[in-house]
Amino acid sequence: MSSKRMVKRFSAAVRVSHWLYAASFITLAVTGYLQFGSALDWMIPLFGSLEGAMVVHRVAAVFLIIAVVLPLLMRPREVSAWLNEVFNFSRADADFLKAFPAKFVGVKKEIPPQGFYNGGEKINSLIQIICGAGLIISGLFLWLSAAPPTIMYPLHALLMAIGVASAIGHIYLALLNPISNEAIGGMISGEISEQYMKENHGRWYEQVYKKRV
Amino acid sequence: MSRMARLIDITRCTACRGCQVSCKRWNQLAGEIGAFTGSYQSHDDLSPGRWTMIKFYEEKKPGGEMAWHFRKATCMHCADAGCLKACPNEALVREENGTIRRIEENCIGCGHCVQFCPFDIPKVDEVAQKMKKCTFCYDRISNGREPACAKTCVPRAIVYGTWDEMAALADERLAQAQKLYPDSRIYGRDELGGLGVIYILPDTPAKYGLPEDPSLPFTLGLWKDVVHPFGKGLIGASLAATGLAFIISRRNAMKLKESAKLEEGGYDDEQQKNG
Ligand code: HEM
Ligand code: SF4
Ligand code: SF4
Ligand code: SF4
Repeated sequence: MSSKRMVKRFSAAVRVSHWLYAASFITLAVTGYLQFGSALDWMIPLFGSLEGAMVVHRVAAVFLIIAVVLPLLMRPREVSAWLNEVFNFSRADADFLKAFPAKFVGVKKEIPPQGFYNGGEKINSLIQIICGAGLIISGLFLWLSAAPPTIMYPLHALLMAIGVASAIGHIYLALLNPISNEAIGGMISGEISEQYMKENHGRWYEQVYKKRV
Repeated sequence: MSRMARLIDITRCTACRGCQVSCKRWNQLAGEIGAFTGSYQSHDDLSPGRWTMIKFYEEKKPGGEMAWHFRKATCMHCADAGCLKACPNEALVREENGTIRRIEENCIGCGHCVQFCPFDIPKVDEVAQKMKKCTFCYDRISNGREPACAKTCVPRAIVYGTWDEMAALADERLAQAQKLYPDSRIYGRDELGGLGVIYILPDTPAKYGLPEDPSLPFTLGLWKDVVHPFGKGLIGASLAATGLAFIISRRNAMKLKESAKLEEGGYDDEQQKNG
């Protein structure tokens, strides 16, 4: 069973931060949406009242900020490696995106060898970084300023919509898409199979093995 | 019912503060003793329990001489009300008679209305988590009475009637006022689509703490008319696209499963390997 060999992907600190961010983000999205639209109004009793939901919104915001600050303090090198990769969009990433529509509907397709992150993951990371930072900044203004610049209201709502729309795609790919959902193991146990690594992150595979040789 | 309005003629107002008292009395708001403000003004600002007050503005003339300006501050019950548009929970409604009325149960005290009122009127009671402001004596006027502040005003500086009557009366009052104050003007008849308070001001609005050309910040329209529909569309589109992709991917997986029965190393086998 050589193909079952496992490879380390994410450290515990990063995984904890990812799930803390995910839980806070979903909580913030739901409680914030209650002010934004009416589609989730049936959830209001869960929080007691709309006022209650806005208190939960602020508590979750604190956890979201912790989820961002924690890995920055504990694993700065892993974070900066991630940022380096994400802000380095290559040819291979662009080619990945061409094959992405097929992957999105669950059809396996040859993709050019990808690094630690593929082109899609990079775009998702970029969107989440920009939206996360913008939501924290605008959210803190709305929360703490007695007279926030009024642009913060539309900005907060816009970043929420973009962040949520892309998070929906991210969650689907990670949980429900039959050809990419193995990657979730990397975020749960911290490991993925070497087989999956070879097939989906060819360049990373090569980098790891070159080092060993 | 037609739109109602108050004409507030500052050239006749004597700053007696009778309206301030009768508003408290009718609306059963407790009296509050404020700290000395450094002028004749009674309190520093409107408050959750103070829905109208006379505001004083001192002006030092070039010769060193002091000029006193004062104005009854109150909710204008705007035709294009920023507070109402900003409210996330329908806690403000426009009544047929023009009142911008609060719905107490719906108010969550978030204060968005405060940020988008061009006249700085709404005040949030932080303990009760409710916004408070002038009700236009909705209980009185919907029963054919005039607002408490208008009823009490001795020099008839506050007059109540239909908006059209008040708009016409403004011309008459202006002509009288200009004899004494040549710089007099009408404020609120054309501003923001017509306010529910039409002032006769003896001088420029700035001297009375009023914006020269009040407008709603463009960020309010951007937020409610652009970002909200766009955001809902975007989230809806994302849900629809992933939902569709999910169904297609399941069908593809089923097909692979079928063929996996025929050949080893097919989809099923791979799934087991991956684990
Ligand atoms: C640290 C981060 C955040 C802080 C401090 C924060 C704070 C706030 C505050 C103060 C408000 C105004 C509501 C009120 O006054 O009760 C608000 C509204 C809102 N928040 Fe957040 N928030 C944060 C992150 C987020 C995130 C991550 C999301 C969604 C993914 C989000 C979605 C919303 C939405 C949809 C609204 C309503 C906006 C509207 O009505 O258009 N917030 N937030
Ligand atoms: S004056 Fe302010 S509070 Fe009153 S209706 Fe206009 S926007 Fe709303
Ligand atoms: S404080 Fe009340 S009235 Fe003002 S915007 Fe919030 S919910 Fe609406
Ligand atoms: S209309 Fe009524 S609530 Fe408004 S200021 Fe006059 S007395 Fe007070």
